[in-house]
Amino acid sequence: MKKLRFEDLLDFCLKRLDRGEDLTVVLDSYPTIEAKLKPLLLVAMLGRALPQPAPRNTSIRTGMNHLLVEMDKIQAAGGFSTARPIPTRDRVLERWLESIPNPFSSDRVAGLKLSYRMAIITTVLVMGGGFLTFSASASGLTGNVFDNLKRGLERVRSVLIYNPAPAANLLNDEEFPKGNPDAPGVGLKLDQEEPILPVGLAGPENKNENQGSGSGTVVDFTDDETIKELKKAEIEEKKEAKKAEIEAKKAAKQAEQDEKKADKEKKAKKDKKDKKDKKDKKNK
Amino acid sequence: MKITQILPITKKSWTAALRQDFGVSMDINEKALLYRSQTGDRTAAGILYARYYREIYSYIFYRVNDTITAEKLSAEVFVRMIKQMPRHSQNGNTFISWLYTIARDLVQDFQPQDIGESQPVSEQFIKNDQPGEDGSFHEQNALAVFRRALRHLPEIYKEVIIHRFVEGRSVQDISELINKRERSVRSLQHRALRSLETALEKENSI
Repeated sequence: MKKLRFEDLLDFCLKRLDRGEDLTVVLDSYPTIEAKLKPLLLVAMLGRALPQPAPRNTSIRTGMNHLLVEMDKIQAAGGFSTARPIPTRDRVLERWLESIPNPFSSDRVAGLKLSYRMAIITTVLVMGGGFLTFSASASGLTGNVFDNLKRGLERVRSVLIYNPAPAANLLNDEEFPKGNPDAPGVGLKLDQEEPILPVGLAGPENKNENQGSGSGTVVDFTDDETIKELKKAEIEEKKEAKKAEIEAKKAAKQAEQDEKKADKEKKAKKDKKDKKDKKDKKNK
Repeated sequence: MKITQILPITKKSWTAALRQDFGVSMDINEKALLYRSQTGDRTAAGILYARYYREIYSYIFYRVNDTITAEKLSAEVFVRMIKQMPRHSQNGNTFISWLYTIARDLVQDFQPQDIGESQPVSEQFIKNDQPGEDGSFHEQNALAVFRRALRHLPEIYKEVIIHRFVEGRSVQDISELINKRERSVRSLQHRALRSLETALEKENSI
């Protein structure tokens, strides 16, 4: 821990005296070092009591005359530069800042320093730019440049919101963004009173009913049992599909073989007929 | 009703007073005044003189303890300022710290000739509304002893005492003026007060 030095304490006491506190009150605050502190504070108070010396008016005017005479000498010797010594960069910047219309009407604010004006303008630009970026990110789709910004913003909002329902809505929006129509649960709100239907039951009839009535929401259950059943069903479907493919291939091969046989038989029959015909012709 | 009509704007009245003297607006910042003085603008130099003359005079007065010398040296500070003005660059220091540097150099150069010749301070040049002027004999005597005791202190202690207690500057301002850290200024202040206490005891015993 940093130790407080006596000189720091002394300066603190002097500041307290400057604020108008009584010497006894200040000394009572530090009874252990009062003996050491008191003479120094008394000397300081004596110094404060010294009067401000006022120069004579004649001496002020004489001094001013000396100054002006000296300026004339320097001017005659060409000591002063005729060109304005303000750097171009400063001059351009200052003129530009001076040309900015002052939104404040009172005289006190009109006299704001350029650095303060610059700080105000920068703050306004940064805040305006930030607001525009956040506004643009609000409609950003997944994969968009602003999507990450939007998600971050929603996370911050979810932390800041104390009411659990809007926070849950925000989290839901974050998990299933509104921009993606294919995502499950899009547009789902926890406060809705519509019946929730499982995927398995949401067959064509149910879907038609839902579409007809315009209400009801399809929700994908993600229980372990449902997942297992779905996986089993998928595996069985795949097996059946493979069997069907194999059978189809076999049937195709059989059909090809049958065709080949039929062709051979036809050829053989033709050959026989041709031979018979030739023999008959020869005999004739 | 305008805000300016409700609030007392001291700056404006001060500006008006100087406008009467120099015929220009005083709302010009110090940097602009410096630039204008460097080009030989008499008005800008006059405004700088009017702005800082009293502070410089007060500082020199307590350093040399003589009104005539203080007036001469104060005028000389501004003559030196204008001589150095064409080649002056701020280099991060404030204009007032530059003036105090000139004044310090002047006082240090002047003192060896003036030892033993310093005239008693004529109280007519001190404002009547200051504490101690209308006070008791003991109070005036204490202040005179204080001024005498101040002479025995080293230069740097004198400077800290004058800036801190006579001019009423903060430690931060003094650190800029004498180009030292605030921590060092606090240490100097402590040592200066101790030395002054000892010097006061000696003066009282005499």
